[in-house]
Amino acid sequence: MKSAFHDEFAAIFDANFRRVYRYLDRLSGEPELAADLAQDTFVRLYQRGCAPDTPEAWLITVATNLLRNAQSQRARRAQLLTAARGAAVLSDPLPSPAQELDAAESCQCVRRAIDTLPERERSMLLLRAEGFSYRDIAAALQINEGSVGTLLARAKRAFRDRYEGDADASR
Amino acid sequence: MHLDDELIQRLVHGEPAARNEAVTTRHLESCAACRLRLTEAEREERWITEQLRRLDHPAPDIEAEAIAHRAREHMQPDTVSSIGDHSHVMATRGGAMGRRPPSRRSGTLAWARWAAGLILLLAAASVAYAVPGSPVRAWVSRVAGLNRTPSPPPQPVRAPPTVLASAGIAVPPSARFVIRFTTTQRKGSVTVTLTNEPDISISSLYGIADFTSELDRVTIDNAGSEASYDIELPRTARWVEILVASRRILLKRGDQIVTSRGADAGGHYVLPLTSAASRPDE
Repeated sequence: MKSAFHDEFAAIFDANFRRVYRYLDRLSGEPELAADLAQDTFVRLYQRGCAPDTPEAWLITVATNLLRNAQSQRARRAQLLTAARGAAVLSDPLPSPAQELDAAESCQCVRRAIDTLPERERSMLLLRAEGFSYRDIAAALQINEGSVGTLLARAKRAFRDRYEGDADASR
Repeated sequence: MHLDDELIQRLVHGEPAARNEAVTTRHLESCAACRLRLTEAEREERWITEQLRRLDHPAPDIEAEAIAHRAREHMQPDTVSSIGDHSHVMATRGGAMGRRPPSRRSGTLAWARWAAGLILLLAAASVAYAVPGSPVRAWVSRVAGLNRTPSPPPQPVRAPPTVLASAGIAVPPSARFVIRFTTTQRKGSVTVTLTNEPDISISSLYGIADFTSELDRVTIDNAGSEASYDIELPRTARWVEILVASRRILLKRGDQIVTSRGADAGGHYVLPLTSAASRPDE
């Protein structure tokens, strides 16, 4: 016999799993880690036994903390991986035409622009891109809901500046 | 009065604004500059969405039932029955990341626990064997049939260094933050230290506790544990409470620390996790 929470959990999972995964994937740049942590986040939700008042804010907070912990536990290794990842993609011979090379370089520009944003701006940008509401973003990042739009505008400008600066430098 | 960034972004995202919607609409109709800003903000939104998609990888193809199954595997039977559904059906549809392989992290942790346990056992046996007057030496000699000559006085033996696995969590403190151990322990303590770091950090040797982090609290499931814990509290944290079950063992309120025990010479608050600790008043 299934409980009411079991059904509620399934509904929360269906509505949020993919976007929590995508948020973690974009934030970390490591799809396997993101997949692990997204699943861990929902395991914890299930083990909680009842739905939080604001499930989306709860999920974002737990997912972000899990990622932060995973990264801090292997901070040194993560630094090496990031450097290696950038070098590998740039140095791998691409068998594709110039268009694919442009796409790879563009992807690297996006990655670098995201990675160099301050943590709060990075999270804001990625959470909003996943469609999380201002209320959930404010709760998860512990900021005033009335200033989410202003901070988002600032994060977007910072992202664009970094992206364009990086793209100009690589030309 | 033109529309500010907050209002423009809320219009782009369809978020309700404090300002009257009719007033905003009227202003937009009459102000070409704000219309242009809104159009540019919408274009920028589309551009960023497009750029971020370049980073994406396929999401794991997994269903809620598979996650619930995994969660139940690590839960107490009474908790499972309160949630219901004992039908352990894997609902994964397959795919590269659909079925979660055994975690490399948890596997390593399990080996580390075994290794740490074995080393501790050997160390304890060595010490017991070497302690002056210990009956262990006589037992061993009797069993091994080596009790032929009087043995020289035993030399003190230092336990070999042990390699211990650790587990922990670091979280930013909210305005009021609670750290709760679910139960008292037969032994073990919490060492609380104030730091200049921005995050609250909680760690334990042996890594046998399960940490659950929420917006305003961390819950440490320490049932059956005898581990000790280190907690680092940022000096800037405004209000942090540490509970063992429902009993408070420490309260940080601004610069004030309320505990049943003062700090030691190193500035650490060492608080027992046993039922003997008393409750500091708020």
